[in-house]
Amino acid sequence: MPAPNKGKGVWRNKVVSIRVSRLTKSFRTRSKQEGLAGSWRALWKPEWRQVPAVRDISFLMERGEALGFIGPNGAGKSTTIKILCGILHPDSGTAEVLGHVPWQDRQQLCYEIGSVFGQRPQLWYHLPPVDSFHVYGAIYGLDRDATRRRVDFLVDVFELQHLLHTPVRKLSLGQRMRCEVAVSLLHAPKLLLLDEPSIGLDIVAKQRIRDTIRYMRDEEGVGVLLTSHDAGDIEALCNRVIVISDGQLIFDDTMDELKRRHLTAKQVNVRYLEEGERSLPMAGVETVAAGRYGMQIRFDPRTVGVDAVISGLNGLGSMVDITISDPDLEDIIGTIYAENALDPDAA
Amino acid sequence: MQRTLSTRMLLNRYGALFRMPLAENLAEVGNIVSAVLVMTMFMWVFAMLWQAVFAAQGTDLIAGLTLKHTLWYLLMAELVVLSKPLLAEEISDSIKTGSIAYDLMRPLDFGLFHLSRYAGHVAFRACVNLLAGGAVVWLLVGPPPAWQGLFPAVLALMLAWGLEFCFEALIGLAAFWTEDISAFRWIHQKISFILGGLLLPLDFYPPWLAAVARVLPFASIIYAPGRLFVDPDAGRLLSTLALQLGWLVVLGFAFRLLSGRALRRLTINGG
Amino acid sequence: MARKRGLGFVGALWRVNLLSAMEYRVPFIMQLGGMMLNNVIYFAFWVLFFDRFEEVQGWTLRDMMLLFAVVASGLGLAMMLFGNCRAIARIVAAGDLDRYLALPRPVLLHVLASRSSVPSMGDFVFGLIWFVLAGDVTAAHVLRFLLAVVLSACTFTASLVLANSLVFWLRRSELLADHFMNAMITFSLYPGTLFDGAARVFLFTVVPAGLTGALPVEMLRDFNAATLGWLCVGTALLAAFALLAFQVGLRRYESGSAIVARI
Repeated sequence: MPAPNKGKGVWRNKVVSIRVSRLTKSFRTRSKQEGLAGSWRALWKPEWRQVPAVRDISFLMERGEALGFIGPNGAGKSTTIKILCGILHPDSGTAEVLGHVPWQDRQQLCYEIGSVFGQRPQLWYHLPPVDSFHVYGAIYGLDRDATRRRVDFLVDVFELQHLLHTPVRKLSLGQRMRCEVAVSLLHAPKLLLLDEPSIGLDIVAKQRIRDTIRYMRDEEGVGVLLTSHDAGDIEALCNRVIVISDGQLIFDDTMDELKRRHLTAKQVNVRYLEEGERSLPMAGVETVAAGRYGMQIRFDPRTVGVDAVISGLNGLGSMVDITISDPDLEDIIGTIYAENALDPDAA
Repeated sequence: MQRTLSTRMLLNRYGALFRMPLAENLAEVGNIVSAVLVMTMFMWVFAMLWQAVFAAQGTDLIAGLTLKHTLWYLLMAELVVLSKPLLAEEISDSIKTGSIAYDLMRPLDFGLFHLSRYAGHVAFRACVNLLAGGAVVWLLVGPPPAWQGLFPAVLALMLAWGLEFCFEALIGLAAFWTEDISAFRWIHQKISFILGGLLLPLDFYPPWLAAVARVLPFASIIYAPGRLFVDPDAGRLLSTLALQLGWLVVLGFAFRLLSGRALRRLTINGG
Repeated sequence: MARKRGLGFVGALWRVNLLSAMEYRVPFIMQLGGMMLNNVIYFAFWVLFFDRFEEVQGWTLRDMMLLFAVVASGLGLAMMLFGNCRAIARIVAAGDLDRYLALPRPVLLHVLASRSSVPSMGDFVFGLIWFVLAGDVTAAHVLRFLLAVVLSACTFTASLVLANSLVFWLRRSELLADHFMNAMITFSLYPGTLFDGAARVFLFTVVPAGLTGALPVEMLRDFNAATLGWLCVGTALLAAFALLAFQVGLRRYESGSAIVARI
């Protein structure tokens, strides 16, 4: 691993917006045995446990890039993002965001990045969003006119006209989240850090949030670093993916590469007109599910010909319906975890 | 469908609820340390104040109480107040956040559910507070004036916390009707401090005020156990318990009435 | 984009705190009035006390009124402007410091000014009324009183920040912080002349309630430059310690992911 480039060249500074090298962070927690007896023991002799949250993570992010962080709960996504915002100090390793070391130049950095933490709302709960917009304007040191102009623009993009004067407590979760993202863009940041922005939202609301973030990414060249445990967010917004499990980086490449490397299986669903026993005894074909009228199979197109499989299926009876599909991102990530022999729930 | 449970199962169930707070309190060393600190602090300030007062008066006896009587009395009074959990706040929070609906979905009696937890908290804190505060007062003014006061005082203390439970629960339930109960909480707290004799034994009050305060429930909660402890006799014990039980019937009835009405309101609103 | 980096944002926070509080009219008024009534009832104890004992070591009911006036207004002012000073331990333990750390302003100031307690406005007003009722409303005395209130508010804020910052080392010290606050208020509201020797040392170090109540009233009763000087030095020292403790502690902050809620 090369040491982070100290005398960073001008061109490098232009391209790289995040540089992370060998970042490590662990937390100390107290463990206690169950029941009253356990409490009593823990009182006199507390047992401390080091829980690693991020282990030796390194990556680069280019300016204007949209990078997705994916992994199960507790994998270390949020911890990484919090280190990059300057909220947490790492145990070891280096990081540089827009030319700042986050935990040293936190304030300076905060003027240039925007952040949304899905589980920590930043809007004043009892007041309409417009009041929050103006407070954040003051916090970011914008004058009133500049704030107003920017708010008008964001209201337009995020379609907030009808929400602006309603107390936040009366907004739906989706509406609230749209306002949260809009607030985080108030000071025209160069980089947007989003931690679980779509948590708890329904499909329609998720779609809307994704559309507006994509619009701002294309319009203002805002870099996006996104964590989510919803693969759909990543698929819709990011051109590069980092998969983290158990605090370790297990995949880092473009979305296309992820699909090319791991889209190795095709899945086929067939339905037949008449009832009967369904099975396709062919080498390299795996039966996922079978019923009286239909079945689901999976095969690797590199070893088994698609035409052979189709004609095999055709020989079993008269087909009324057939769909051939790629597995979705969830499944791909499942296989990555499996390859790394890590249990996603164990993190 | 109403299922009848054996007494043993009921005891088991509410016994578990009683033990939970014990574990919760024990899990945090901080709770115990801070209880000791607070008790020490209060008794120490009181000692300063009353030593100064007795010295200035140039007498050993004020309204029939010595310095030793006064401090052991004040310890008992503080014990009542400092050992109780924030029940009103807990109930009003559960109403405001709506989590009360989950409490009610469990097959438990609302009153007994809270009473068992309340008793668990009080039992733990009272022991810690009594040991800490007792040690401080003992060091400052010597052992309690009458050991035979201990048992009657414990009896009166339990009834006192029963009464306080009713008051706090009533205030908490008020959250069904008003958005914020903190004003009620402060005012109830300060009225019980004054009319209960938390900072000054009722014996030192002007006679007319002392006479009125003695029969009110606040004195049954704060004044009665401490006064019984420092000066136990059969007559005082009987009149104290009779008054406490009387108020317990009144306040218990009020609690049943209000909680019934509040819970019906909850079902009508659909939780 | 042009950036203003002054402290104007604090004003914006106070404004929005007030707006939030006034969203709910009835609780707003009830809390304001309730707090004042609460204080009046509490003072009744001292009326009863001095009714029986006249004076204790040179303190009379009038001194007690001045003491209540300074402490209530000082505490009220602190909680109005920096209402979060009593809640820092809770904010840190819950991982809610993230919000402030993600914004480009001094964290402590930002946290402190982000909450204004409504009942404290009642405290503040109560203090002013009690000062007037205690008599002697000359211009010089009013000025001295306001100075005492401001210094008392600074001491309250600083000592609460200091006590709450323990959370960075002890992790679960919310209760301790609450008790500390109660101790500050309790000790502040007793006659200053009651304590001497070790007790006096204690009240100017561990629980610096001497700086919020006794010393300001001493200054009011018998104004001299030395008392004022001590008061200013004490307040400044406390503020410096509080700032240091928070800044050093902040580096140990662990955010929310590691702490399991549900207490």
